[in-house]
Amino acid sequence: MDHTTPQTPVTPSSALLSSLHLDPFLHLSLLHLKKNLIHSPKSTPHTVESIKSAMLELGLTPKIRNLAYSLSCSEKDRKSTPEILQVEQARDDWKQSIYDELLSVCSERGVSIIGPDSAQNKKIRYIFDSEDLFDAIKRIPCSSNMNASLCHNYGLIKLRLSTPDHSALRTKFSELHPCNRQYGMDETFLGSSKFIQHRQEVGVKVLQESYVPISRQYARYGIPAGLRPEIYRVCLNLPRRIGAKEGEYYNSLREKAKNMRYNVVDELFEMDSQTIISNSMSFFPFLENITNVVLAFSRDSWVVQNSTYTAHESIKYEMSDGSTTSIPSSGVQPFKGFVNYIAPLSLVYEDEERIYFTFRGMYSRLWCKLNVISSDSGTLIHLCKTFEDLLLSWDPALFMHLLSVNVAPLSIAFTWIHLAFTNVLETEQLLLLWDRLVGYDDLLLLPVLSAAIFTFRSETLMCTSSAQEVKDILDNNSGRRLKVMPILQAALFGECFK
Amino acid sequence: MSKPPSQPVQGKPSSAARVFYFRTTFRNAIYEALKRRGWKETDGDNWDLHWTEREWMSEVFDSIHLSPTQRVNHFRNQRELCRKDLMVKNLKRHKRQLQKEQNPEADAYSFWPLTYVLPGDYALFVEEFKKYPTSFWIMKPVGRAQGKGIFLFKQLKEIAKWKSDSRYNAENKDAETYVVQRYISNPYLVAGRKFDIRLYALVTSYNPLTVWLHRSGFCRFSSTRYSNSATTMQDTTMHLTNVAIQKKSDTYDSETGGKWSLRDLKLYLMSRYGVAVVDRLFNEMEMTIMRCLFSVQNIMMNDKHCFELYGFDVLFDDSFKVYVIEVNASPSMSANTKEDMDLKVGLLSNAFDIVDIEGKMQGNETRVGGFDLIHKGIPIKPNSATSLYTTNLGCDIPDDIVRSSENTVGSTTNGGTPKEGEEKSKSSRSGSKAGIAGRPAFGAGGRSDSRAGRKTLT
Repeated sequence: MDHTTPQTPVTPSSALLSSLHLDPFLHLSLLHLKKNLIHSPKSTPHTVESIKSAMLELGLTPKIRNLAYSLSCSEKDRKSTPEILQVEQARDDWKQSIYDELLSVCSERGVSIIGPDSAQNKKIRYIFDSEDLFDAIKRIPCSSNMNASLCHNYGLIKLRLSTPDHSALRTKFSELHPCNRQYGMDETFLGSSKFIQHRQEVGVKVLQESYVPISRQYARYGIPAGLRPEIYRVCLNLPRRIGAKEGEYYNSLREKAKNMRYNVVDELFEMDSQTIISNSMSFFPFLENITNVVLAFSRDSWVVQNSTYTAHESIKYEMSDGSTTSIPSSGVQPFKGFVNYIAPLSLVYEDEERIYFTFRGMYSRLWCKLNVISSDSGTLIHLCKTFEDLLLSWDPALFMHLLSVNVAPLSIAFTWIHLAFTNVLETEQLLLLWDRLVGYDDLLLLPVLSAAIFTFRSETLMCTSSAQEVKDILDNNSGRRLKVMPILQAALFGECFK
Repeated sequence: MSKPPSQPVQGKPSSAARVFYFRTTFRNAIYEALKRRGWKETDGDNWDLHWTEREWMSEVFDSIHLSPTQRVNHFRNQRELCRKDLMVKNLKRHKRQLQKEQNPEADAYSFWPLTYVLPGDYALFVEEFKKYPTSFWIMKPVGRAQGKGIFLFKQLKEIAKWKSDSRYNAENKDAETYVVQRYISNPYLVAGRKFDIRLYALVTSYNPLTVWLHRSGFCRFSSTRYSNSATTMQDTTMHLTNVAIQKKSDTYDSETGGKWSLRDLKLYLMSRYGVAVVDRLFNEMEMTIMRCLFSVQNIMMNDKHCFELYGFDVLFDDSFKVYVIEVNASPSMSANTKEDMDLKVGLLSNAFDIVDIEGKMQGNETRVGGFDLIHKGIPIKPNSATSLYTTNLGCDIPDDIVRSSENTVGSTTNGGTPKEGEEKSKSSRSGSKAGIAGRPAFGAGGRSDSRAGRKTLT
């Protein structure tokens, strides 16, 4: 959904109707339903009840309910205000620079983007990484029609974006309040077995309902490991169990990847996987699976059609038969660290297909927002600004101290936010954080947790006298011992538990 | 209260200010852990702790007199448990004893693969071999470690060469002893790869049998995908998971060492099978360790100066049946990654806390750092009213909070009220000061003067 094209007004019912036709499963099921009802042996008149029960039998009810829900959500998502000029410019520049880099790597190699790779020289380098994205964002100036002195000049984000304040966060994340028992906290205490059992029972009921908003509400309190695979799927509006159709679809993507190789793009994805996954303590057994998933992802045009934002530009390539193909079909170019979004799911799901669809769902709803240059609330720039504003309001002395030793706090927190803490937290803690991201369908907890970690380490940080010391304290290895929920609760609701 | 270096330790140390001495030839995590306690090294006989090799035990131990507080890290006849042939002999003997007593526990003693000791049992082995024509068998020399000399075979003619070698002649008194075991061909696989699990158990006495089990451990993966086909039987990198063998593989990655922590395994299994199955599996691993110890309990030469930190190698198959592969009396304390080193130093520090030469333990502790007391004359289980699990194996090791620099009991991680959340984060704010500046706290009593992490019997 490209936000720059004007939307024609759509009514919910017409949207529902058109979606019903577009979704092959629904379409077939409705035909089946019609057949059943018309040709049913009983010639009793059809009541609402009989239709309802026929629908239930066919498994239509949850599907339609969820479809209606997601349509109503996307109504809200639809943005009506135009993009800020500077941001639009930056976004276009960014997409262009990725495009140019990719082509230049191809020409360095002496290969075209598709086609036989007879290059002798196998050298390859990343097209871009988190740092490059960070630089692109930092460069965006304050809007020119604003008085320069009014622009916030402590943080790196110059744009004047309005960010949620502390009380807004407390309201939004009220489920995380310590008075509510939750995973990541309460299951570790003595006497927690009742809580764990209760949570398990509720989770099973939630899965039987298979209704998106209920599953999301459940996820906000953290999910027991055994239920996580299915709850994530439902929260992402997928059927709780994978079906044969999905399996076939995934295999077709794998076939596409095998039959037609993208010269530089595939290699970059593979290099990313090789470097990051083989060196990972937790994910190294899944190197092959993760590589397969990322290559299949790059062939999936569903991604570009269904992601809330398109982050990058595909290269339009004219084939020998005159047709054009996008490279990659997903519209997501490879960058250093991309596989981090996939890796944690290898400890959640049994096989590649399952990893694939959940990853794809998470990318299209969540991770795409972390990779797009936009001033929309909930996307990367806004999240970065939220982090800076929060830290400044929670601990101004710390913020100033860090500036005095030449460390902009965002320069450290940026990768935490961009990569959703995958390179920082221990896997179990990371998944507890992701439970909440999926449950709130929102990335706001990323800057909140980042600011919370800074304030958690405040006393030690205040004693630093150099940038290197700050980096040592906040380096990714020290994050391995962090427990997400206590830190979030202390930051959001600390001091007086208001 | 310092003592002249040449005299042995006398009496119980009365204050924490006394200097403690250790003696060891090892220069890895053992050395590191002892240095971090502030202990000093000595070459003489004035040591409080001697971390020895097994050879020293068999050659020197019997001939010296030890003071009441001196400790060594082996039992005199540890080979009854740790030599492959003797372990099997003891397990079989104990099983027969239980069967004679008609004790139903006897049925549980089926956690080792069919094993014969060669060359002595060769005839028996051949009889059994013929009953399983499709099985693979694995040949292991009893005296060697690190996977040396181990090979797999399916047909008797493959070991004909071995058999005809004069060194292995049954009449030859110096013949090297081998065990031959029916190979477990359906190990549980993760991402198509075989792995075994190293667990650590600390025995501080065989009478009463006192066993501490460490919650953590690690899984050692093979670097190639597992296959049952005959053509790959000689591929030691597929079948033998010892790190020494894996290091030779092309795909070995020196950064990860092909190891998973037990917690990663637990998370992986829980996502797939749920809590109950995983708890049963881990409990079975704990019970299996105990059964090994029960079988040698009465023949081990107990000595109050002795303790032993065992490395148990276990495996489970695709139906979650647990097997013990072997027991190591000197599990490797070298580390090939930082995480590995941290785990081992932490483990050793906890072990030294438990052995308690410094005299700081109250005596009623049931958890010290990552070690849980699982047996002291009688089994000790987690409280079923409060814990969901029947074993603490694989559970999180709580971060131990140091309240002050004095020796006080420090654990505050257990408590049921919601407000604990605030206290926990507040006190962890101040408590983690000592371990900050990027260095991960060992979390389990890595500091020499802390008595943190004592959960007491109630």
